[in-house]
Amino acid sequence: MSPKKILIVDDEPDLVETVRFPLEMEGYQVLVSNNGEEGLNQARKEIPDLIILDLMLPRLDGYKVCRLLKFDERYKHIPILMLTAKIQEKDKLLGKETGADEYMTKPFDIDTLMEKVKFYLSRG
Amino acid sequence: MENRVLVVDDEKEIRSFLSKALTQLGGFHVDLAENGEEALQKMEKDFFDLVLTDLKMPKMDGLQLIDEIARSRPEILTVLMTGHGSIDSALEAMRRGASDYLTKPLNLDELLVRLQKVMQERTRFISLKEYANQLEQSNEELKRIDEMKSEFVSVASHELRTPLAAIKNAVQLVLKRKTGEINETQAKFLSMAERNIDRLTNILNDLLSLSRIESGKVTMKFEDLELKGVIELATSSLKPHADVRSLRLEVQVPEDLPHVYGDREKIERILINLIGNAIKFTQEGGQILITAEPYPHTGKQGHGGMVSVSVRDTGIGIPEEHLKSIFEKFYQVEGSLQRSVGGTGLGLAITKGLVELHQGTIRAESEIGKGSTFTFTLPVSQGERRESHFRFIFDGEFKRAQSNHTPLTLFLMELPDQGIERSDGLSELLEERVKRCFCRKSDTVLIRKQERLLVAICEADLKGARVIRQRIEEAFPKYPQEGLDGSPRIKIGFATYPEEALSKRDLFGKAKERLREWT
Repeated sequence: MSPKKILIVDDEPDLVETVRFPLEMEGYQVLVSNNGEEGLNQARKEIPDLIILDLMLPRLDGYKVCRLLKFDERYKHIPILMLTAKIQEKDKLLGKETGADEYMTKPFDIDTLMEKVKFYLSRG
Repeated sequence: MENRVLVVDDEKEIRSFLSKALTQLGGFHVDLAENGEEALQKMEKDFFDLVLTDLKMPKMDGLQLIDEIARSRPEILTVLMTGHGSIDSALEAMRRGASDYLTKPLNLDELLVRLQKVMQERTRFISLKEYANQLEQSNEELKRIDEMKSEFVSVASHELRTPLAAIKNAVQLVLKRKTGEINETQAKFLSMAERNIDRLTNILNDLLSLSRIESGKVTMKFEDLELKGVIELATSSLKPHADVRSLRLEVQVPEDLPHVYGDREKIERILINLIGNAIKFTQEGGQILITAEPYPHTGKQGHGGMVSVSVRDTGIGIPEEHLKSIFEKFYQVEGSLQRSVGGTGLGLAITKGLVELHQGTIRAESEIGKGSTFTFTLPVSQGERRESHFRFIFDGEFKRAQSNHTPLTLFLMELPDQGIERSDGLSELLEERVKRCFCRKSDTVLIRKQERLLVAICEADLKGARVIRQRIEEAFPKYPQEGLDGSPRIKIGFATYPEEALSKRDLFGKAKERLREWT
């Protein structure tokens, strides 16, 4: 069985590195995009098993990327974990409207993230 | 600077007399015009402080001129000169914007005094207006700066989160042995780093909360709340922390505590902050007691319309000189455990802000070595206020009716909007008027002014109650002002014991229901 494919879309290289490392340790294949537009294209081309998506991204923000994928029959099955530095309630709601499966506030617990990833991958 | 006056009169003698008098005796700079039209032309070219005009003139008369000036040049003062017997025109001129009037024949002293007075008033008015403008401007500026401050805190706290996340992840990766084995000491120091990252995150969260509270950006979701449930929930969520330190956590809330009007999440946060503090500052084996009761406790309960909640601990206490300041941002009691227990220094400031968003107050009492008590108040919900009030006032009457097997009718009367809040005298009058509709003077009639509600109880069965209702209706055909938009009558709802309701609560519920349906 080929390894599960996870796409990280985030413009912060250090943060990407600290998320990529444990995912690869778990044996996942990790793809990275550092802006929203590239992330969207890569998601459409590669059809990953899960996407970890930052909210504030250059070119195309995380909400839009999420909406474009979740409201498209071909991609809506891909679980999306949204990461964000915004903690206000209304942002949280907006995240839900875009159809994100999970919403995590920075800074987060790395183990919690890994558990969520495992959960959504086993579900699919 | 000398004041400029334009004299407008169709009589040449008067013009030259006024010109001379005002220039030589009043020290004014004077210009002359024969009628309203010429005056307006002159005003286009030159600036005048004041226009002194005659009433009757060909082409454009004094009133028309005053009208025109009031419309197009309101900064220019106008004074009308009228003959004897035309006081009506003079008053009309004042109504249209003239500052004053003089009657002919003119008295020179009076003329000068009046003009000077009018000018002085204007100078005073202008400087007041300037002052008001300045205040308004600096107020705007302050608002803008405050806005910038909140914006800054918000952006800063967001911007700091991403690097914090990277640090936290990196530390956790090493600490959780994802990168290979580490020794005890390395683990200890990395744990310390992790703990402090969490603390920094808490400070950021608190800063953001406080900034939002201070800038009025918090949206409140007010609802009718049963406080007991909220307190129990908050307490149970902190139970594990209390257990770790062998602290007894106890809740004492009376079953019949009036409901409060508040935002559930915010009240939970207030409670969690206060109970959390109590846990932090109480030594092992201590006790924390959470109580709630109607406030103020004296007199009839629930009357003040608030409920007070107290969190009492048997902890280390707060020195008296610090009690006043503990609700300030980043205030720390010297030599306190604050740092070692990892507080953000913002918890109490946030708590106070959240209490105040409920129109409540918070205070702290403490005795060194014995413990501290934090007490805050929350408003009783409006619907609840009527009920709790009722709960305490008719106990005696109801019990008497029950033991004597006599009927009892409760009346709720809602008065029309107008008038009732105008003065106490008026409500006394109303009370008197309502009382007269009941059979006996001893029947209780109570007025609740703020809520426009009148509550009365009397010994009457259903049949008697209907008679009383009719009497009240007749006594208030068009209260309070006859004929004014055919103003609504008094609204009446009643219920009778034992025919319609058996408990006091049901009696009130039924009467309230009827009151609502009253058309």
